[in-house]
Amino acid sequence: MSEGSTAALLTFAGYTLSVFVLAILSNRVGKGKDFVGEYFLGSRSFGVWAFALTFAATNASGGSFTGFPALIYTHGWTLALWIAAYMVMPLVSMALIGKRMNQIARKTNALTIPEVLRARFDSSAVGLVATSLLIFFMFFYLLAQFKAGGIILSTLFSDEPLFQSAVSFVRQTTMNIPWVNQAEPDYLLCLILFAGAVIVYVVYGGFRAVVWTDVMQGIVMFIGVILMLGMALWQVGGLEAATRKLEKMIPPEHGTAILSTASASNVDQTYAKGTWLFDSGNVFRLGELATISKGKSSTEPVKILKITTPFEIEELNSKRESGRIADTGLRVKETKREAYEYGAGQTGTYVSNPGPDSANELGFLAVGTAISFFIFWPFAATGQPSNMVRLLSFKDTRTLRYSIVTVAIYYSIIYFALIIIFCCARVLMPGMEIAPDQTMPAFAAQLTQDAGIPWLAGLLVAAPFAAVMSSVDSFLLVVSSAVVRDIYQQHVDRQAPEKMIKILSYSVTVIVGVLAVLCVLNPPQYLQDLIVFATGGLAACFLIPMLLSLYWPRMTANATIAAMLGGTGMHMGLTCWGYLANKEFRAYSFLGVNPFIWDLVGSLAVALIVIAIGPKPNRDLVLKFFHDTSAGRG
Amino acid sequence: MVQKYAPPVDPVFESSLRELKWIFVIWLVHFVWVVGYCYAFGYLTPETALTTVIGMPSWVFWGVFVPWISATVVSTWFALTQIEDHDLPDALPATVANKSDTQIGSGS
Repeated sequence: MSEGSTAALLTFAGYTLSVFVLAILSNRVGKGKDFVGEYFLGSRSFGVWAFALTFAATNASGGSFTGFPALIYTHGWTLALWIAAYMVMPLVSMALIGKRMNQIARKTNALTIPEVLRARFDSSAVGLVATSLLIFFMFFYLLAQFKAGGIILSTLFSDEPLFQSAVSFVRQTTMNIPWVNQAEPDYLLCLILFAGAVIVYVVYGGFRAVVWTDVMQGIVMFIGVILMLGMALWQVGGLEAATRKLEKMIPPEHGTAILSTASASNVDQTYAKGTWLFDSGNVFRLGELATISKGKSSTEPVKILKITTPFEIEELNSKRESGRIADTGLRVKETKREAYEYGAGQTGTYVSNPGPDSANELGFLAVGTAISFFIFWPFAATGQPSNMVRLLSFKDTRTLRYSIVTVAIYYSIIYFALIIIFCCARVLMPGMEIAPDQTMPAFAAQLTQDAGIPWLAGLLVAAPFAAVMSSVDSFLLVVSSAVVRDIYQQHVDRQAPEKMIKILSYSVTVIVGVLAVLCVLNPPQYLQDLIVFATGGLAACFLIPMLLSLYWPRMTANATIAAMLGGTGMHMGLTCWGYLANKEFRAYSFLGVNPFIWDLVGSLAVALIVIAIGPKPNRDLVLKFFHDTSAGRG
Repeated sequence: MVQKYAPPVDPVFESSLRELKWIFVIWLVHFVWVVGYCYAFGYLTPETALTTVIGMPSWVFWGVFVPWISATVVSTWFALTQIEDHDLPDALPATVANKSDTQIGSGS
């Protein structure tokens, strides 16, 4: 791995350097232009490629390259149905509100989403509620993406000697610093590297740098996926071979076991997570670090994964015999076995719906869940402020039209390719159920190693890193623009000079970034659930109010506030219900329906009630936004 | 009773609203196709023999892959031929706009 790991380090260095070059260039381009408009929206000047790729890259967050591959690996072809709504997502999320929102933003000189809503109703209260909710939900999202960045980097560098030396230095330096010393030193170092790079280029280059780096990141993602697709199909012997092998696979069994040696050990012996274990023809994989202490001959019960597919067992045994996999010689005494709730002992589950599932007896994707996801993906994406704000930045409607085409083709290729790649991964790389989030980097390393080109792993792993980076930079800017534009400029000093706004914008971006880093030094246990909470919350809060504000003249300021609070309230209520019912930080699926749909229903219902009982909308505002006041009066 | 004069409807609003309705229709057609087909043919029983088309399970091919191509073609057609182009208003520099807002506010 050393060669591949050094290449990974060089790739990262080259990649970071390119990002800084882009930041410097965008800073030069932005000079002499209105600072606020340039820093937060790139002077609304982006053409097709820049606009399309920034939209695509921002939307394809780290989850597309960490969580999604893990799900494909664990559940098989059913993920094609799970993600199918991405086929209409570019059209829905860009064309549903893009042209109209851009028009209103230009008419009112709005640079942020709360500003669009505030201007639409000429109401500070609307702007303030929108800003508060946006900052609240967005911060959770930012935390999760920072954590993902730190983890991906530490995977990338794990075998690099220079990195290990730096980790030792960090451990020594931070061991007496409260709070900081609780973080794993390798994660801490990577988090600081990642956050430092992002904060510096966002502060220096603003929105334009974010967009330009998004373009580069979008290209890196595309190239990475295409290369992986080619190598995976070649190594598996074609898609037909992969599907036929998947058909024969049986879900593995999780459990615990006591590992033992023939005689007591003279020293502590440790076995890394992921070590293969062979005993009496059975094959297991170690799910955590195991130690046989000095003077003892066995471990405490440790997590293991038992491989159950006959051809995998045969292949792994043959690799052991040929010396390609080391044999520890340990005896394995199983103490607990946990079969999958759905699909245990069955073949064919990886090529059919609902897909195997270790925790859900209905399988991974019951038909009701499939329906919910076809609604959730495109409409939740439409309601994300980080996507909405991009719709304020295109320079003309032609750019929007051609960008929809570009993103539609881009997503078709990327997402379908990812499904195929990781179905191949399930066949070529057994036992990743012990750490499914590592599937992408592990498969990149295996593919390139087997192809005899380990240096390429660096480029392939740069794809998920690029995805995380392009999400973080956008969220950072959305949060800081909300503070500067929607709070300071609206409520503290409306006539603040440009110099003051400049200092404030830079400071807020840095402070938000540093705060996020401090929060994820010790990430909360349920961080993945927080991402779901934040995504759902943002869409619940903004989708219905924005749609009605843009398309319904009868919409009022009170109804907009009510809709935002109604969606948020429903989201929080269902999350609390989910916690009480299932002891999980996850919204409750009332009647089996995705909570997001209830959030939208709640938001819409409250808006309609307030419109029905409240005052009529201001006629001047209706004329301004729904009529062509520039047309002559005849 | 004298009716208040109302200028013509904003053309961007009008065309965006029409496009919004068609986008819902496109989404709905693909929703019914994908979920309907996969529900009927994608939940295989252990006794069902798996058939494949170009290497993928046939339910993926007809229920996801083909509609995905259809959605991409329709999105392309819709974006290139049905979404109307308009001249969007030029935005003032944000700082200038902010100041002029204030001046209007203080002046009224």
